[in-house]
Amino acid sequence: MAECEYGILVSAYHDGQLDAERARQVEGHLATCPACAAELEGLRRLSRALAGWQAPEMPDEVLGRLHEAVAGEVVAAERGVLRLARALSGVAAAVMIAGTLWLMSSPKIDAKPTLAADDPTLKVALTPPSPTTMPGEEVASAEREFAQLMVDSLSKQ
Amino acid sequence: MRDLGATDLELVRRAARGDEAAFHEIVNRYAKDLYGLAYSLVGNAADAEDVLQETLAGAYRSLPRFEARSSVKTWLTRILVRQAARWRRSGRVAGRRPLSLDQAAESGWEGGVAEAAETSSPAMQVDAKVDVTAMLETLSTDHREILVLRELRGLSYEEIAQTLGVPRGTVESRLYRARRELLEKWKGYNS
Repeated sequence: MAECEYGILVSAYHDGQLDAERARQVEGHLATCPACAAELEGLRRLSRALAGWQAPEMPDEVLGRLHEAVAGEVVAAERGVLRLARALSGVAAAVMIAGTLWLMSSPKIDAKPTLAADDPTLKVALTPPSPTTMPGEEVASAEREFAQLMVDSLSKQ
Repeated sequence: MRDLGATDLELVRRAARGDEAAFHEIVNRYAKDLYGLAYSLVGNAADAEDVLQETLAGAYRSLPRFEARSSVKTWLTRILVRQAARWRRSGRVAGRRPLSLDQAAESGWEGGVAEAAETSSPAMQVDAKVDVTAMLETLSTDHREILVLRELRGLSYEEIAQTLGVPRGTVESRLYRARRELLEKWKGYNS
């Protein structure tokens, strides 16, 4: 059957899928084009032949198997979520450890003591040990050493 | 217990949040209809069930991405049509390659025989023994699926366009070519 440029429109006309204006246009064409008129008749026969066919009903046992398959898919999805959660927590732990190590090893930004001069903690730290058991010069030397030790220690905080 | 009051959209949203029973209700509502479509596309019961299982599994995995731009039915239909096409292209369907008309006439489909069209016109006499739907087996995947959606399922052009993810113009032209091919084969077989 020879193709006419109206062929696609005839097919859509057969399906009732044209707007009113285009439908009128096709109807006018059909009156003057034997090829398209025959095409339309062929489409109608084809549709009648196909319309008589119905797929067989789905057996009841198939529905049961479908539900089982869905249940299996749910379980598989839940396992997938658990695996992902474990993987993510492992990654999070690794990030925390790496971050802590980095903080511990990085150089101090401010080596100055953060305690104010009149802070009671500093006073306690600089309070020398009792001099009662030590000779005078040794006590003074020990005091100085002790004080320096405390200042150094506080400076590192 | 079935939840008959919820809309399809409500069920899908609940299923997306982990409500397994909601998805089972979706299966109850659409399994038979989708089975018929699957059968129409692949031509036998075993493959239809397999395609439908793959469809429902795919739909379950896609739940978080469902955006309600189409109805749930259209969404499921779209997944099934793609799954059937993949199935056919993978060669897992019994009729993996388009059959010749003689092969189609001999093998036929497992069930369902169309009533013979009237034979009053000498130009279009139909061989009553030929199952016209078996001729769908001789078509390409694209032509077969669009004819099934239009002729057997009665979808509008807009619905077909949504299902196949193509413009309406493509539906018109593809349907036209599919029909021409089928008409030529039908006429050629009977001439």
